[in-house]
Amino acid sequence: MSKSFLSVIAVAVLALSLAGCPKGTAGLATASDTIAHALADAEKGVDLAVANNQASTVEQAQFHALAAQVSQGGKDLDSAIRSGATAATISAKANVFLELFKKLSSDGVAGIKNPNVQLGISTALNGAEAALSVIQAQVGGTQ
Amino acid sequence: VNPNTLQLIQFIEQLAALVATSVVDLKNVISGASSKTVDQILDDADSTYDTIIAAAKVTPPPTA
Repeated sequence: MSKSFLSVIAVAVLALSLAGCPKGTAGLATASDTIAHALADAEKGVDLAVANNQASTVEQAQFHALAAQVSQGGKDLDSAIRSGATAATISAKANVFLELFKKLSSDGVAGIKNPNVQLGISTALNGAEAALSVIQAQVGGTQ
Repeated sequence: VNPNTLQLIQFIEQLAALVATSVVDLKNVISGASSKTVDQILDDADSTYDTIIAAAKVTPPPTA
């Protein structure tokens, strides 16, 4: 099964699921929670890969550092959601979050040399990419 | 069987188990089976983010 096919399935399932959510903060909160868990899963995946000698500790440290930056962006977004910030503010936070996530994808995932591990981690992050799209669509931001 | 292949299969199995657990949690929130409020969902997200941030602090920095 190809990565692109899995990506399409993940995006479609999440989009349909969130479409059934109450509009507004509940949808945004669920999307953020989805991203947080996808990040955590990806990070655990990298740790497992290191434990199984499929990735190096250097790759692991780089991924952890970038994932932490994305997580801080996620916390900022959560804070904006929690405080009932304006759509413009949430959109700005979401865009910062998106940029950090792109950096994780470009430097963190691409920095993993083993193609099978890279594929596994990338697939684990698909849910996060779908949730970011949902956030952008909901707050009217740019992607 | 190549030991590397066995290790890879084990890795994929473990990763799949992690993702499956998260999917079940998320399904419960989305379907309403979970009685979590928005604040509780955000608390869960923040807690997960905090765990990731803490893990980065204990991981040795890249040396190469």
